[in-house]
Amino acid sequence: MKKRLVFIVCLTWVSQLWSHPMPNTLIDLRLSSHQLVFDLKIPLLDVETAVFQTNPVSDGHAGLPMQVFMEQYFSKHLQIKGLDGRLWPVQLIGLDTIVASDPIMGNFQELHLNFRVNPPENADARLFLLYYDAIMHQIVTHQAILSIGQDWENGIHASENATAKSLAVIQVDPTNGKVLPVAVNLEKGSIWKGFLAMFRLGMRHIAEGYDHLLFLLLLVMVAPLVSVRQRWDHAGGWRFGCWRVIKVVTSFTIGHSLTLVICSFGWVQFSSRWVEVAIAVSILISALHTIRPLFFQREVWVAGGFGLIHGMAFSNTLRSLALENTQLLWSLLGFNLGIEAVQLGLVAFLAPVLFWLSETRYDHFLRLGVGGTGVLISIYWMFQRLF
Amino acid sequence: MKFKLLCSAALVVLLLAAFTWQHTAAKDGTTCFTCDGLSGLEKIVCLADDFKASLTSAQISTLELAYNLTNAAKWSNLPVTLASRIGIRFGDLSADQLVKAKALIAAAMGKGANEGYDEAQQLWAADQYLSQNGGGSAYGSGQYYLAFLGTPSTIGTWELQTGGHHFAVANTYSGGVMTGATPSFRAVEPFAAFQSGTNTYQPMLQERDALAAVLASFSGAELATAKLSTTYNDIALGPGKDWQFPTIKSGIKCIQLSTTQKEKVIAAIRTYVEDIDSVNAAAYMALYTAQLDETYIAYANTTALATQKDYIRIDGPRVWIEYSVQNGIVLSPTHPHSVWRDHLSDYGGLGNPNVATNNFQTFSGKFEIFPNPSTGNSQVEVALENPATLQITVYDAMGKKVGTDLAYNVTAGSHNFPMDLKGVPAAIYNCILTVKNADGTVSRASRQLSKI
Repeated sequence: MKKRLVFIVCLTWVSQLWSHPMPNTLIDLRLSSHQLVFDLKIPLLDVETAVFQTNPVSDGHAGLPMQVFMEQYFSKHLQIKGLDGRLWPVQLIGLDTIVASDPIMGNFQELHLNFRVNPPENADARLFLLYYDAIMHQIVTHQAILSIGQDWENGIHASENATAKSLAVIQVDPTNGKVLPVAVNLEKGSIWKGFLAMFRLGMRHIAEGYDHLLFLLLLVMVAPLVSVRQRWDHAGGWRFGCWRVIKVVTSFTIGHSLTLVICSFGWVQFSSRWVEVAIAVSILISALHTIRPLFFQREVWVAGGFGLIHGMAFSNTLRSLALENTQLLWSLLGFNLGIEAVQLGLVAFLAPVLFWLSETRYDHFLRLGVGGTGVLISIYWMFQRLF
Repeated sequence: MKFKLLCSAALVVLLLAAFTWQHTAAKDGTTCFTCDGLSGLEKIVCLADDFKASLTSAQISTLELAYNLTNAAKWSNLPVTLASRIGIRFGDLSADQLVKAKALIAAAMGKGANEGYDEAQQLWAADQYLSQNGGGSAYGSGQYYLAFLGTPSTIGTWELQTGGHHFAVANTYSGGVMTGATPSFRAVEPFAAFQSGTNTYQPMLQERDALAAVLASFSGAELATAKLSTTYNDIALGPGKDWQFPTIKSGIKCIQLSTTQKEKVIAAIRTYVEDIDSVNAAAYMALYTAQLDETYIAYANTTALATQKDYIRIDGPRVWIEYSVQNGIVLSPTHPHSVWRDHLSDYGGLGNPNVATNNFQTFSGKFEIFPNPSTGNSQVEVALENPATLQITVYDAMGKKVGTDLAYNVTAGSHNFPMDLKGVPAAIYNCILTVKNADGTVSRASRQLSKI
């Protein structure tokens, strides 16, 4: 839902600027240290008109597989030159159709293509000329909006759309019918900038992830309590509580860091749907634990085990950025530290309050209240994520 | 006695009341009466002042804005929710104020049936229809705007700008005469006849029929010459595309046409020009008719101007008319977009890059050529804060162009371009940089370059 909203906002801005009602081509440029990926979304109707209907003989894809045909078409209409005038190799790495939504056009289909460009060793990947005239060589009223979707070293990535930057509008110059090449010069970034952006992303990720926050609250809540005969009996004192909180939080952190690393590198992959369900289950169990002790004295192992599951969910965000190894390492560090910062801040605030409450006579009601709510919410999440 | 006294008193009261009533009535009617006696620009300015007199000072500051290209270019084909307009919104005016605003617009437009003000009213009604038939609150007759760029006067320079979704009028006046009637944008959804109250309207039927009649009169060979190989999903010179007329005209030249065919072209042009007042319309028609032999007709897709991607253009030394058929947005099946522009007098000439007297902003960013003096291979460095298109042209001492222009669409930041002067004789040259920003504003800078 959020993604869709961002997309609509983005499109609205574009229409406002260019006052053009027809859907345009959107070109998203993703930059990693020495590789460019061009993500193209072209309204399918315009592909039909410009590519297949207008020149059925010379350009029709008669006999050719779509992949090969598109490679041939774009080899003429998407070219990248370094400053020395040499062409950079362009490779089609993804081809499918998707449904897009526009505030005035409604839903429409788009051809979605991914091109990978590898600049020569000695060339600056941030400095090049883009010769692009797909579709508009035929439909002269069409235009393509080039923006930067991901630039790790400048802290720009798709999940922080507010920082995404429009680079240029590619269109036919009506005075001479030509399409000007785009001279691209992207601002230099740094590892520090990329790291900071990942730190912020980590902070935001957990601050917006209510399921992780609830899980943490439930764990901290019972930390100061001692179980006697399968019941929460009395508070074991601040020292006892603090020590247990530290152990539980550290164990959770080790758990989620482990799977975050493993899954972000793509060594092991899990279905994100089942991971989300498992998280709901972990919350359910923790919620029940606040009502009746289920794993008293074994919290460290349980927190660590559930940490493994939560880490898998954290890794989805990083994996979607498709970073290469060096940037991924820095991202892992930044992202994880960001999560930790919020986590520690929250525990530092919650723990004293909960400890104090655990020594009052309201403790019982509070635990039942929070635990009961946790049970209901986690069951709701479970069903929501299952179906 | 008592009865008489009472009667007299009643009479006095009655007379007094009648006098007061007549007096106030006369006072109310004064301006209206005075404007009625006027004609042309005097009447327009009188009605503009009358409208302003009915507004609060806050409303006036919304209505009256600076006369510049940035403001003048703020019209669009889009609903107002997607492209914000300037000026005062019809929906924000009281009934009395709206009557005065419309009286002004009526005076500034033509009076023929289905043209001028009549067409404007039908377009407002069409948007109201669209709003009530699936379009929602983004559309509707209240979503139109009126703005004065500059202060309305019979001496000074100002533009009467009015428009909204599918409608834009830009009447420019200077020194007591009309100096621009364009860009004049018309479009409608639905294109088909629709019901508004007890009336049935089809505001763009005459335009479409007149333009289609031109193409219908062409022979197979004429059609072949007139046909464009490219595809048009919309008009080429819509909003934001000011002063971008093609340098080379396409299609069939009207000198090749018969008298009957030429008459059809003139009739088609008339359906646009007669949207302005009859005196100025006659002047424009005389000009466009005189230039007809130099005027070209081009079209794309099919000739009926009824299916999507159908397109026609009339491009003369001065006249520019485009009509494009595209898919319906709210209602099926299609709807047209159309514009009348003038190669010289759009916005009264404001921002025309070919007029030497137009002052351009000086480009203040980095613009360096090195090495200078050049032995043949130099670099140009240009730094910009925002994306723009730029062109670098080299002129010799006689003002003649040297070599090919460097032209790029550039991202924000610093850029280096190679400048090849190997073939040119040793001399001092003038390099002109033209930067065109996304908002349509143009800035320029020049540098001297010696070739040794």
